[in-house]
Amino acid sequence: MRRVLLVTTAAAALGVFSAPASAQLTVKLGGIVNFEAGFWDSDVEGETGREFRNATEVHVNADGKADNGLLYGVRIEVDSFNDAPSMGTSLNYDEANLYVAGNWGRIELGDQDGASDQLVVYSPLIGLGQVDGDYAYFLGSLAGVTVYAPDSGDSTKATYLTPTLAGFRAGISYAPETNGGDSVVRNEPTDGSYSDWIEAGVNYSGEFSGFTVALGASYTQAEGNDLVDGDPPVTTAGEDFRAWQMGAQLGYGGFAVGGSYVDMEDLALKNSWNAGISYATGPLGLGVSYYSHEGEAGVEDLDLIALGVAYTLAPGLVVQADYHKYEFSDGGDEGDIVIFSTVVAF
Amino acid sequence: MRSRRFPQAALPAAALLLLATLSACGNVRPEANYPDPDQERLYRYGSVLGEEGFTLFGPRRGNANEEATGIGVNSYLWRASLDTLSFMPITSADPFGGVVLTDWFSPPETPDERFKVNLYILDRQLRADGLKVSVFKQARAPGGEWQDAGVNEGTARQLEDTILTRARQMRIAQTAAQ
Repeated sequence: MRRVLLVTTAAAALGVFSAPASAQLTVKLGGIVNFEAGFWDSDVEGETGREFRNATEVHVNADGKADNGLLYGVRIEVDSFNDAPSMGTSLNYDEANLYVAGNWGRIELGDQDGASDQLVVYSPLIGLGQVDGDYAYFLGSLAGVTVYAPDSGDSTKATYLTPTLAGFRAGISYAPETNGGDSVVRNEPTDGSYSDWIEAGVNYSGEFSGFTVALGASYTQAEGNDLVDGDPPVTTAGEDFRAWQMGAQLGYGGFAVGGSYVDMEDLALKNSWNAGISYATGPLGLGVSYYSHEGEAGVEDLDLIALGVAYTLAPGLVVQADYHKYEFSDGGDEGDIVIFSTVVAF
Repeated sequence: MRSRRFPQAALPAAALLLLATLSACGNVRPEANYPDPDQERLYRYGSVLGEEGFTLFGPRRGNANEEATGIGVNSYLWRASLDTLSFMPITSADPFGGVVLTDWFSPPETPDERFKVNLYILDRQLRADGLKVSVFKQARAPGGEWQDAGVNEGTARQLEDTILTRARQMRIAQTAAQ
């Protein structure tokens, strides 16, 4: 009898202690497949003018909550974006980071966009993303065009984000080296690369009698590794720089209007700005936005206007299209592109 | 050429100062929500698997705000319902469907009347339209058999109000305890 009691007590104890530990962690699987068909016309000789593009992402998120309220978990993104042409069918991990959070804020460690990228506010976008869309995959001369201040991308970094206080959030990130987000250690600088990235941002979002307001400001800086001395410099990359970005967005009903300005005085690309308007009603979304930048030392001024439409056929099934028209200054490249896309997200 | 033009210590200090200023804004409570703009953009048109997506294992995220209690309906409404109906004999109580059925009950002061209550909890959230109460009444006919009788229209609503008030009290008590 005593033995039976002992066994049941042990079993009960086991049950009691194991239950809360296993019940709290949620692991979620998600992903998208985005099929794009691009048709374009540019001044670049020898381009095909049409191509299909497939973009795939798989997300695994694990989120836990400890008994004392501590939030913790991991975010892993696996995608086909970072592929070199020689291995175009493989999947690499893109972002992967762990976090610990609470009412005191959130610490993110790993490969993830920095605080400036996470907190920035810019033109409202629909579907493929107009001025922040996928045109650069098809048009080589628009590679590198972005509505963001220059940042370290997914380089391995540490980030602190404050909790939301009266609509305000702030954050700061540090990445020692630009490594594109992988497990390789950069133990010596390469010419034209950047070190000691600091990215910070603050934003505000609020709602006043039907109007939504979002304001954001961010700051990035890095030290350049201009290793080859020369006059004039061998590369325009690799100089120390500071950059900042300010943006605002106002929404009412289905309408949103906004834009942002990026100042990069220390770089060849001096400044850029974007502005746009979007409208969403039921399953339909429409957006138009404009992007412009000014540069020197080989970086030509650019004007880019983009129109977008998105229609949600069913939850997670969207058909969307973007049209872009761009023109570089001084008789440089000009052209236009239309991209049709079908996305399934699960 | 690695010049150090920028006072790097100034930036974290400014961020901390900002945080301190924000914290000082009266009774503003910090919210531990940290949206992920990348994933929000990808899933802004929903997911094939509905709002929640696919959960490999663990409790689904939607349940997290009401804590995992192992029952299928709002736990405050459920406990408040049982508490409020405890004066009547209960024949069936299903915590997954959210159904409470009582047996016939005659109040001692009116032995010629008897009541029965069907109660349904319709939502996981604590909200007024998440509760539906039906009250049935029978009166004893002169011959001694029970016959259906009309119920005062306000009775069911009064019972719902009592349960909702009790649920709210429980919720407040639990929040305060945390």
